Amino acid sequence: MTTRTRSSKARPAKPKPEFISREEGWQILEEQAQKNPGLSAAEFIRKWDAGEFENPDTPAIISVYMLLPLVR
Amino acid sequence: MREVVRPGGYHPSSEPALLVLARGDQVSLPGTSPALALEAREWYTFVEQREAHVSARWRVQLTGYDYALRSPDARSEFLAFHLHPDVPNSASPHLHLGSALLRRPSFATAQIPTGWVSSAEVLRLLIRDLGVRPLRPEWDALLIEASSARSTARATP
Repeated sequence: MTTRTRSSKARPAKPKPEFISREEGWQILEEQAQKNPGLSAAEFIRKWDAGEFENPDTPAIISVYMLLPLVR
Repeated sequence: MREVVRPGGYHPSSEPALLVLARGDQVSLPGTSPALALEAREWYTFVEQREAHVSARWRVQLTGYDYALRSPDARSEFLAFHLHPDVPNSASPHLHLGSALLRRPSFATAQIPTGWVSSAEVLRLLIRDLGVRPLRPEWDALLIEASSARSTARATP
């Protein structure tokens, strides 16, 4: 008779998403906008809304654009 | 490493909710040599399915994404998968190739996933982005017409 035993190796806990406040959202946007393209969050938003990015569909710009729901 | 959800990301809204990996930072990927790092953002909305049972009344619909592969120091970009239909001239999902790809031989044999790509989309890439000179000035309208005619015949992958 073959005895099967449950593996004693525990599965890693499934990570839970972290909900953040609007203030934390601004902090994240500020950090990422400063890294690339080197703008403040407010300046990035101003330029984006004004259509001032000559080529908005670049990975660096889109990377920050996609974070705008953090603050809107 | 955690995913971060925008305030209100559990409730329907006219604005998209955001799920972002590691508070917007890159995450180094184990087992890659030279090292790779992943950055990920997803936009989603809640869609009500009125006919469904109450337990399945709402479903999550992805409306945008940005998945980027870079070097851990973020100086080299390899690939970026994008869907951001609200950005001008960017209605369709697409892929950006970074020049650093040329230094990664493993990418030469990798099967990089794409959505269904039509011949019209390939022709548009050639003309719009790669400088190919079209023979007909109304090329854009012709490609739109061709896409419309082909979409009904497209097999579901």
